[in-house]
Amino acid sequence: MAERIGQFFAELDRRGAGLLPDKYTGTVLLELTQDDVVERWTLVIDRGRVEVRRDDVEPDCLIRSPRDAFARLLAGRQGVFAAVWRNELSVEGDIALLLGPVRDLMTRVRRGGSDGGP
Amino acid sequence: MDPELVSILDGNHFVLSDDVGDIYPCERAPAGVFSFDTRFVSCWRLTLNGKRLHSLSVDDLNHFETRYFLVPGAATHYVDAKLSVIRHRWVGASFDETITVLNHDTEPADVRIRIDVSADFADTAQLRLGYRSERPGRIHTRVEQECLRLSYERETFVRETIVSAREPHDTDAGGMTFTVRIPPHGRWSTGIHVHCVLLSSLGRDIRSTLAAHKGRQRVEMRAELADWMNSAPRLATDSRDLSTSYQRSLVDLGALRYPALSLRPRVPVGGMPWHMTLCGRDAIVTCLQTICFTPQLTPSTLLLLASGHGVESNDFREEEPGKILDEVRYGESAAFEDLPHAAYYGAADTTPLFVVLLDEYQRWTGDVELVRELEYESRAALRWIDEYGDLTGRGYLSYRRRNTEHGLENQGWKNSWDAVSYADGRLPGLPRSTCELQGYAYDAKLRGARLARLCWGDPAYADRLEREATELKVRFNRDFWLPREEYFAAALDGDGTPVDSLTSNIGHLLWSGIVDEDKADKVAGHLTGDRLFSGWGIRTLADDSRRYNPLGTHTGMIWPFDNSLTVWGLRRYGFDEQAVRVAEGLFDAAAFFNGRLPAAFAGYDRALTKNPVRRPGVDAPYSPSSGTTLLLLRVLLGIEPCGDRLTVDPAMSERLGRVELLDIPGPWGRLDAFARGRVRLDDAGPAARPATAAGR
Repeated sequence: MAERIGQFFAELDRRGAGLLPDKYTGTVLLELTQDDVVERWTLVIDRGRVEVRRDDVEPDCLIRSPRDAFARLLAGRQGVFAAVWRNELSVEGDIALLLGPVRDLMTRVRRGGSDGGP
Repeated sequence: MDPELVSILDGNHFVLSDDVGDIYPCERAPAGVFSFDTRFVSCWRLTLNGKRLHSLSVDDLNHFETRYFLVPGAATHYVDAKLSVIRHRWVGASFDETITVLNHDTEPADVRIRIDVSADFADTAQLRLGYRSERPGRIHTRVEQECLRLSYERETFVRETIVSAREPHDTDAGGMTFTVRIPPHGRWSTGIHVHCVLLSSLGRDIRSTLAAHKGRQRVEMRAELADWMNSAPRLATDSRDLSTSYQRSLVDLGALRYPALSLRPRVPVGGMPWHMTLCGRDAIVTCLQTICFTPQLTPSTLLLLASGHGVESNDFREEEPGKILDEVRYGESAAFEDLPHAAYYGAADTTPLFVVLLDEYQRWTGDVELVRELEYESRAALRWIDEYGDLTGRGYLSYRRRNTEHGLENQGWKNSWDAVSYADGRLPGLPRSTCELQGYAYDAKLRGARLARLCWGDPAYADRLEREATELKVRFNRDFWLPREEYFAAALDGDGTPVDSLTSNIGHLLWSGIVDEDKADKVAGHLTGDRLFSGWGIRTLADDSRRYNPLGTHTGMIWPFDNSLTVWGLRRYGFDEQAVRVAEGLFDAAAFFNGRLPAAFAGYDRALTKNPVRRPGVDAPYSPSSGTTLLLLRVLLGIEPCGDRLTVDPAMSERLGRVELLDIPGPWGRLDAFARGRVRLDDAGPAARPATAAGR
């Protein structure tokens, strides 16, 4: 599980330039919790380019999730929309960044390609 | 909705109750206070000194607000009532009721006012399917100092109903009691506030804080309704019925908008009570119908659908890259993926229609920016048509459900299980390529080509799309045409056999323009012939088909929105008299429904039933039915954008007389369209009398 989350961000870090269409811009802070430990990952999306950072940045969208729930989403075992309605993903700010680019990124990294778009 | 129930609504919040305002378990219809696909109140019953109340009258103040005038006791006793009650309620993000008790006597009155409250937190999707299984979550009832707190909890999913009152009261687990003495000719009043909470996770406690906003909220809602009505074109006509329908439709379209969670402006929901959520097809069709009246509905709808476009291949959700949503629901069954509709993609028509709407929007507004913003999703949609939509390899858009447990068996607009059949009643094999899907695909490619040239700077892509559209049209007119029957097959079976039933789907073909000119008159003849046309509208299925049932959802009932697209198609191909005939039938039907056409009504012949016949359980109001009135007006006026000009080419019936649509918005600013009805309908059928009218 931990491995999958690490791989996800490593992959974003490695291939951040070629994954998203250039229409997306925004900063997403992911707060993943396990027991009392909170780990923070920031995705700075600038016209489709994704940069992974660990420093605190004021996000447009803050997503909080238990680590195991987030790992299930990355594995594709559950849908992102359902996870929001069920409160496994709690969102503040611009939820469109989660439903748009972040959802897209989860899929692309899992598939190992960038063939979701035209 | 059951016509006997009284409703108020605002977006995806709505209240259904009986004529005294009470809510209690009811077999006929889902009474309750609903929000985000959950019933937050399932019992709400008012008594005075232990007695139920009786209704004198109900005032419909506006779509979110109503007032009941009541007296205690049975009907026979109220003539000399000493007490009467006014119950004034409104629904927005919360539900509020003011109860006023009037003492008409010369003596003081000791009164015990009791409101019984309970909540089952039922999921509307499951209510609709009739599920009565054991629920996995638990309902808690807590009597707190200031309120009654009811909640449903299943793991991280928590929904709460918090009931509080302004005046002193006793709260118990079953409701609230007010014990008061009202002076002679005096009155007593209390506000009761019901806060419906989608509780956030991670231990955050959301308290009932809306009390301070109640009054302001309602004022804002009234102002917003006034703005909505004032920004729409004004209709001036000799026909009072048409005027009523237009006003009713506009109000309902305004009411049926909800704020999706992604912070965009509000988008149309489907209809009440079963589709008070984002339904891709209903939202797109509503926007197409209303674009020259309320164009502000469209950008938010397109943006919301684009943000939810499919990004991966998934059997459960029937998701595929580029595919546009069929439905989004927020209830328990969606949240836990008991059912697939948290984001469900089981529709083969929403994706091409998305492109059609984007082009139509551009034509009516001149907005190039949105088209550029949605280039990515539009190209993905166009690619989906060929890469994922053609399941047989014959070059036709088709469907076969991927979720074999919960998926829809039919994935066009006629999505009930028996909606597609041969004339002899057999169900065709899968995948099914229904005819109207080919029309949409054809139209999407042509419109996509126009956008590629105009906004995306890609003429080579445009050429390719146009070539594909031309080839599809040729193929379609060859493979779907039934030369003996002289109409288009409803579908191709999985093995390529044409499905020979006569259906209303062929009307959509005229709208999309895929029909060869030499076949169009036969199609128009069938649409307005006795087998399909009832006199009120065009049935979904011809009345001599084996599966025909005048009360069958997609096997005989008449769907106004379906008819409105057909009327658009009839005019496109120059069948003005037929268009007017169908439109008039619908206008007449709307008059019987006080201007509010339900999603569908029975397919009985007009000669058989004096009134168009409603069936319980059918949505009303329903966005695409409200949109029907507007689209029919547009089509009969014959208004079309032509760059920054508006052209008018009316075909209006003599009966309607004068019809003027004033302040039509567009790149031209605001313009007016005028028509005087000159098309005379002959009872014997459409005669070849040319339509003439004046426009400017």
